[in-house]
Amino acid sequence: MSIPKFIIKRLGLAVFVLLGLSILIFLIARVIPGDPARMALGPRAPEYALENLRKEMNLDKPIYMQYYLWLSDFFTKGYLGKSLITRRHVEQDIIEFFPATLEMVILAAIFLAGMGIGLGILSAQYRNSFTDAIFRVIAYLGIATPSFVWLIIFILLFGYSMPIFPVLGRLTPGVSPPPRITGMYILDGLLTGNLRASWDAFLHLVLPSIALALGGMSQAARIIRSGIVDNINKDYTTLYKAYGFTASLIFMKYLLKTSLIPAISIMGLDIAALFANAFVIEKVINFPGLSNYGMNAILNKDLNAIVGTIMVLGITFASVTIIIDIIVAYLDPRIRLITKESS
Amino acid sequence: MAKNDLLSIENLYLSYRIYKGTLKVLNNVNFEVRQGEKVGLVGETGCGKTTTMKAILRILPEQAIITGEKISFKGVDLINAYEEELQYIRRKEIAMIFQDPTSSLNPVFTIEDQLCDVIKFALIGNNRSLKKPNINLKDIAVQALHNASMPDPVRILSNYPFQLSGGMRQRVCIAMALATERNLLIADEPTTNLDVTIQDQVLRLIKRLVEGKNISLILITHSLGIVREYTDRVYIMYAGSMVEMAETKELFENALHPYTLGLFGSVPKLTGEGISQGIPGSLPDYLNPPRGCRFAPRCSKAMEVCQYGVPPFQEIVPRHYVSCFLYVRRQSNERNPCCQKTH
Amino acid sequence: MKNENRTQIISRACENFRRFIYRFSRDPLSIVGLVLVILFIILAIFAPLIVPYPKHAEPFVDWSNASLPPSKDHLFGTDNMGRDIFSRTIFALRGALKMAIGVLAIVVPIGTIIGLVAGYYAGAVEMVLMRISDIFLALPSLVLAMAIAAILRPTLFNNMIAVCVSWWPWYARLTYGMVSSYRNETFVQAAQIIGANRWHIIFKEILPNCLSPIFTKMALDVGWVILIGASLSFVGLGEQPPTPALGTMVAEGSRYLPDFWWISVFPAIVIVLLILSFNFLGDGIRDSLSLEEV
Repeated sequence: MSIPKFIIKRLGLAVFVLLGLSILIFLIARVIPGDPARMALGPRAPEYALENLRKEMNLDKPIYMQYYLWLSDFFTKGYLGKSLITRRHVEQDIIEFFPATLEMVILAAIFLAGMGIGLGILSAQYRNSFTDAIFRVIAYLGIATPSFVWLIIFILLFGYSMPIFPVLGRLTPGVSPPPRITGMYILDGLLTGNLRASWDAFLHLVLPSIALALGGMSQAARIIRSGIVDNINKDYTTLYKAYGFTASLIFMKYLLKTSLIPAISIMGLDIAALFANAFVIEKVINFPGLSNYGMNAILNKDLNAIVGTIMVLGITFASVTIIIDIIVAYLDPRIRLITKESS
Repeated sequence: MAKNDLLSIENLYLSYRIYKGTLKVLNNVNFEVRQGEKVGLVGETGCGKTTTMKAILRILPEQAIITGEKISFKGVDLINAYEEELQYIRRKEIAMIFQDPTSSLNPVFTIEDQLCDVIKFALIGNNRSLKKPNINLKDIAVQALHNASMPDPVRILSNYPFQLSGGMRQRVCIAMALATERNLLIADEPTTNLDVTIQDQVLRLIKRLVEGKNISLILITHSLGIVREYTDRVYIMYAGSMVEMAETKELFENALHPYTLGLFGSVPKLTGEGISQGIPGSLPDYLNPPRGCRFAPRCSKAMEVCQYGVPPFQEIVPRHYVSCFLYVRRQSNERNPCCQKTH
Repeated sequence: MKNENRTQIISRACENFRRFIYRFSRDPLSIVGLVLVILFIILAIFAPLIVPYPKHAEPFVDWSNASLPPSKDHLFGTDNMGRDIFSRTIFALRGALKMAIGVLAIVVPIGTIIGLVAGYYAGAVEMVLMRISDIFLALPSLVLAMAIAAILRPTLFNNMIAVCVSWWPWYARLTYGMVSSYRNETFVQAAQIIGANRWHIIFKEILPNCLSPIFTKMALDVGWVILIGASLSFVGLGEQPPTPALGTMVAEGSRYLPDFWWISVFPAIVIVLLILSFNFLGDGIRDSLSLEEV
């Protein structure tokens, strides 16, 4: 089937899955012990205030009604409910906090893909030599070490011992953020000509992004390396050599594409996992991203915020997966063109 | 050897360095091809036919060590040649068709990609890039496919290998080999992996194309029937060395070497004499090959001298060479000439 | 006839096992992994007997010895409450290993069975089961696990549940993929023709062929589960203080960077070593089980 049809099919599936996810989270969030209204207003609030709040949050209606109302609000008004903690609309909160995390993840994804593929190619070219052994040790360490451990090491080494990079927050105190277009400081700074803010924001992101990226980077490098090494012994590679192709063409065009295909799916998963790990490290560096907001929401049973945060993550993850699937389908014609056998 | 030789291999020895020791694969190979000749190379699987061909093109893996005298193509010594000279020869002079057309083509790239790249390098030769920018590679590709009797060449170009049948894939490989002017075509068991009904078509195609332009052909096969119909001259190879060579007609009428006789005897005859036993035993272990004649352990006519030396490849009857102590010409020394060195 | 098959099967299994051991023993990294894993397991089991200050794993405070750097008495130093970090780290191993074993013990059977059923019965059953697993895969495992663990009360057991919920689809998918491709193979059709009943086909014919990739994945997953467990406890979920947990110790210690670096760094090193050794072991198992000859 052609690419457009493939995309539509995947989108349909994604919508279905996201609806299912929303139901799942909705149910789980409502099922938690504890009274949200009470938690929001405090132990001394009078009963009528609690009743009002419950009515406002539709807590008095049956669950499927609540879900329906929530869903229709979202689609008609883009309204995700009110946060019990910040008292603002949840979608406003998300719009404020999400770009920070998104920026960090995008930077980490660039590191992951770029350095992962580069290292993979290099270690394939130098295979079975001493440098290769070093690469493999680094790869093992990269995979085995959790992001937060890397972050702590980086903070110690490059934040304190050799203070090259700043450690806390998004910007150095005194540097004001650029006018808000996307909420991502680097991008906004570039777009509005405020290069100082861009650069400052970038410096603040270097350590956490690399810490996030190392795990996936090592995995990608390994997969690409083994893909290239496998394909070097294939007959078609011998054929290319027999016809005098340059080594760089063989590597960069033929081997790379063939090896990328299995690697990209895994890279997609790793990029999605970056969000999860971003959650873990945000607190260490006082980063005002979605993590703080989300974790607070969960601990305080801020229902709308929980559901909103999870849905945003779900949509992002689904988008990443769809993009990856499309890239793989573009790279590997067999997926598009071979029809499934019926049983 | 002779002046109008296109390709000449003299006393070639080749071994592979592996884990457990050294595989002494090629043991004094002598081989020559003249301009416009069709030479057959017959031997069982594992006897070194493909290795010899790959040695000519110098596309063997790193663990292969070539020792021994000479591989020369149009006067150029291929063993000691610079990489540029070898690349030139690979791109413009010699083409090779491999045994399995399915694995010879990269499944993730179109026919157009791979075919045009072959053509491009054939036209580049030793230059950096194409000198004449208005050469249309695609046109040449279409013409090549057309010459290889492919229906609807334009559509085929946009196809991927898995969308073609085995016979068509092999024809694509033939088109690759003969898209540009060449002097030598090596066909390594081109029909072994194809349906019997297609084998004849493909062989006749090769013969027609090669004869039309006076291209020399090395046809590797383990089928005597194919050899009889498509070659002028035949080499019989066993366990890394040539055991017999003669013009095809002469070989079929007057085979001398016990191995060749065994091969003929193994062919079931329609006259109903029954199926023979074949030749008992199997190829020697290349790690520890016999010191003397490598066929001796299986030979019904082996003598004591056969264990101590490798018989020289000598002209017994005009233009008919055999490597066997049964036929070795007595030198002035009446005793058995067993002093041939083994490597 | 049945008995003959059984002996053949057993002898073939023994042959495979011997080949596995042979190949495994030739890879130095795998041996290192195995040794380290065994070491960690022994340390975890016998922690109260081995460790110099077993009481420090329970509620304990000694302000006079707070925040001491590594020394002869305290190999890894002491933390801000005067507790010996080395002892607490060894105790923390228990939680990590319990988590790994618990999660895999639940997830592998359940996920595999779901995959088997979905793969064999096809049709509506397949659709439903696989769509459900897609829903659970809609979020990265760590996020889902964090969300669930945070929603439930923070204990080790709830951490395990959270990880189980987010992990089972992987095994279901793996098994489903294998089963649905085996479903059409001749040996299955042969069994159906003979009239073998469904469960026999699923468990005696199809399942044995699937075991190898499942074991391989299990071996590789132990490292991942430990990593997720450490991340969860780093964020504050899971075992609560004063029970020592590796991630928690790193998190608490991170407040005292860079001056009292040892409070964070040593537990972090142990986390890395733990995961690394399980990864070596897992890789070794995977390479030795693979069908390719080196």
